[in-house]
Amino acid sequence: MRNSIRWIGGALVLCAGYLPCGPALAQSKPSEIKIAIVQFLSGAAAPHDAAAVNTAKLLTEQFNASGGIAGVRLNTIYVDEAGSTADKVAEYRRLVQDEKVAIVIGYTSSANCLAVSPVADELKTLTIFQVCATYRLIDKGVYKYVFRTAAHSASENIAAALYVLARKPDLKTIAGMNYDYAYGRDSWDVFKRTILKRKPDVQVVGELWPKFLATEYSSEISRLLALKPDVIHTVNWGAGLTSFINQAETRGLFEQSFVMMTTGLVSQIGILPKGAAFSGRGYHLQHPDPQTYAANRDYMKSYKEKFNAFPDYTGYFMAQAFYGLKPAIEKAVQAKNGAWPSNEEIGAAMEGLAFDTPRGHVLVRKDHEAVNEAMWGVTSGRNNAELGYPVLDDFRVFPPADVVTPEGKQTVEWIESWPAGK
Amino acid sequence: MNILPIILIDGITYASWLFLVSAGITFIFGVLRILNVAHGSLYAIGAYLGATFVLRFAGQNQQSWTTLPLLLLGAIIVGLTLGPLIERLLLRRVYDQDEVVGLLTTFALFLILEDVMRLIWGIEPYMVEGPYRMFGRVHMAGIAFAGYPFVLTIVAVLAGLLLWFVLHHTSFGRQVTCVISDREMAGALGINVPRIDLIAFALGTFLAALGGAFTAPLTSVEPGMGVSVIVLAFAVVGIGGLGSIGGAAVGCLIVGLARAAAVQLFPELELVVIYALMVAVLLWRPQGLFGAIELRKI
Repeated sequence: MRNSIRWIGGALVLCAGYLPCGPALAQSKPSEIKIAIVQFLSGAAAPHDAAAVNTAKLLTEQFNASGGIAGVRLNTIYVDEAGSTADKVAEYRRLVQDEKVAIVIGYTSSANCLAVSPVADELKTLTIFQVCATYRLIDKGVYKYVFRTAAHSASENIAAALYVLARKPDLKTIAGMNYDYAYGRDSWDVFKRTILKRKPDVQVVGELWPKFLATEYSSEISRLLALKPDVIHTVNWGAGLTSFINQAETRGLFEQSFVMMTTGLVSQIGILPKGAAFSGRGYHLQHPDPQTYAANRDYMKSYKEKFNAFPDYTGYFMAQAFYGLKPAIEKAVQAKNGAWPSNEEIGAAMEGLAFDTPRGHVLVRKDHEAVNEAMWGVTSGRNNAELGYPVLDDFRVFPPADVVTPEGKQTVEWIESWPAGK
Repeated sequence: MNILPIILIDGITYASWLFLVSAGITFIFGVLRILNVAHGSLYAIGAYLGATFVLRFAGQNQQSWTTLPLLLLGAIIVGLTLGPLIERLLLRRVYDQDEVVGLLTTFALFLILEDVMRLIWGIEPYMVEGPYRMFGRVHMAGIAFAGYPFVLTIVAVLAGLLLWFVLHHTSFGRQVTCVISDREMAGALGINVPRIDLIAFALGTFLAALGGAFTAPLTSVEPGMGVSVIVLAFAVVGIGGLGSIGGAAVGCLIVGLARAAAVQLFPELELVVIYALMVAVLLWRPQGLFGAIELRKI
């Protein structure tokens, strides 16, 4: 009897630890799709990721209310991204091996997505980076189980350069004021390269590197006021951007220079003076036009109803991940005549997948990178009469072909390959 | 354009802000011998409470003089409530322990308070930029400066003068000096040491909250704002010498001027310069510029 119990117990342990009993690995339909949403839930980046977490909750409810994905309910769990990169890698393993999550969505920090990618391949777990901005991820090569459902940050910085050159054909001087870390330095590098390639006589008069999330900018603003650049580029975000806006506006920096902010939240538009350039990594409250594009209007309205705020870009990016995952799983299930696909098969279905999201049409290329439009506008001080969101003037949308690094190319080499001055 | 006056103005105003956020740390260490890691959280709570009062009582009329007393009120309430509470419940139990126990206790408190703030105020940013904008701009050295940092300079000078007056011209100050010199002897002479500890920690907490409350108009008040400040504050008091208010003031001036000069002349060095200065000072004088070499009783 005791031997029998041992054998049964041993078999159960084996099943739990080694055999493909996990929900997404099983070939029969699982009872649920367990998804880990890894976002900043605490610390300085938490407000930035709040819309992403809210959207994940909203869409989980909405998807489950209509039967889940391919008839299987979603079970989303929320994990804090705050902490060291080493911790995040260890936690990723815990999520897959102990929590048995089938899919991981998240990672705002570029350092974290770079570190987690090889582990995702090692553990053969479908992982979607919905907001991770670094173009270095694709420069390192393609990870089989890793997908990005939004274009990387090079696109909005290239678009920033094209936008300002279109608005200011006589541009003479530029300056950058970016957090001193990879995202700040890479983004400024792309913007500067694009400007200099298109208009080589532009002078770079200043490159300032405040501390990550710095809130005191007296010296930087003094320097920028003294330099008088035509254009100032910044990817600063969070409390640091709010502080910079307050301090720069009071001192007249926006009156002197054309300030371009690639990354920002809807609430920050409210404190900007008229005429400041804002992208917010894609200002989707305005594009695709919610008055004519139902997917955007429905998402915006349901989000506002539930959370009493407009979704920030991080919310749209999370929606993009959910709306990409759904057709990928459905396509993979269909390809197997209704049988449940493996992670590998879902990944294969995602390659080359085109889908509609609240932020418009998206294509995930064979190299697992998404392509979508980039957009810029300037603050108007007005709100949309019907829906109430802040309106940007001189709003321009840049097609992916103009701003997204082509498949098989590296971003810097691609920009450098452009003919000079055109 | 002559950049020297710009460096001086930026350096002094930045130093004033630094002094406001770091004076409490050095004061508490001087009296209680506890390196208060939770100082950043008390700073953030001061910012949250100040911002809450401004939003609640000033409403849309943020660009009003009444906002300044509201910010001050936030700091006073934090000093009067959290200060004594933390000292009584936690710190009093670790004075006799090794210094690392005090460090770990305040670190644990820091983590707890970060979550408490999230529970009370959520993660949405609070914006009270009205007082900052109210003071407009001042034209000097060929460019415009905001008026509010000069207000911060006045607040920092007043806080420094208050500390100096309390320590050197009041009975309480003399008792504090006795406790700093020798706790056991001070107790033997009839000084109520636990009472001094409590008041000193409450005063240090008030200073932390004052720094936070008057920083609120500069930035958005949101989670994590105390973390970055604490590192900077430790660097400043390390340069000045832990426990020395005068040292903290000089440390702030050195760091403020060095940073302003770096941004104007060598922007790549902006981050390095503060910590390079700290390393240089500590290599030369491990106790900091104004720190006293401590004699250990055996």
